[in-house]
Amino acid sequence: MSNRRTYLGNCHCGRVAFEVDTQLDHVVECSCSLCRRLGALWHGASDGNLRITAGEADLTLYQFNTMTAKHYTCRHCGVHPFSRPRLDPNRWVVNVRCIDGVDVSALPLMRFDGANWEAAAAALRAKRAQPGAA
Amino acid sequence: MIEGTCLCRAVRWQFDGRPDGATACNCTACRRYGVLWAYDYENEGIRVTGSTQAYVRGKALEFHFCPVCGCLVFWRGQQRDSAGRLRIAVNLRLAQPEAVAQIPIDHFDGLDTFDDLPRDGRCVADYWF
Repeated sequence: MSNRRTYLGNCHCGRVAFEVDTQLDHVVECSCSLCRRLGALWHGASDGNLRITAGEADLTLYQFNTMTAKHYTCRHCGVHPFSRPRLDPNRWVVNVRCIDGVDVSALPLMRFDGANWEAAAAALRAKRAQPGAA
Repeated sequence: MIEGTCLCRAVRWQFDGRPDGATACNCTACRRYGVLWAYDYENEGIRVTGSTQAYVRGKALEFHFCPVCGCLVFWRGQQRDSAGRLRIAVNLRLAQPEAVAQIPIDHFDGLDTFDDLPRDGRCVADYWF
């Protein structure tokens, strides 16, 4: 699980499929009003490292609050494969629940307190700005 | 009575009383939906209002989600039982966290054996914060 490779993901009905190039070494749980309902386990990826390989036209887009993040759902089966996060809408967050063959319970879990978004984002940005931060 | 709503509040459920457990199922659908289920019968212990999109899966049940915000709200059986009832399960993730935090997690092997699996001492609060 610690090496960089390409993972394949899909919704449940099979219309939406994606590939993500990443090192799947953790997942993120967000407490905001949407993510806590989705139960999503997120992993970030740059724009070029996610490819939607099928079903782009089968996605419904939802935005709320600041209308910054973009949340995509398969319009047929209601599965939520990825979003453009509010933290950086030029990147993706992938819902690792949609990737088969991965034991999500074995991945280290990080928590982002999206229910208190400004404070959580400020703390994360400060942490990332530190010398030697990942 | 516990209530849950999708994010845009178009779809709501009500559950009478308090569920004994919140079921985490490992089947290929539930894994993706990230749901935690509580069960009863439609218009008995559980009532749902609002317009949903249905994803029909086989002949047994159908999953219902909000077509606007994408939240998975409930599944419902397609066949009535001998008493004329429809089985229904609601997604406890749509409730206010404090209302469901202490409900213990039941594990269900929907992927393979359809057996109930042992509790591991976790409750809903361990599945989110």
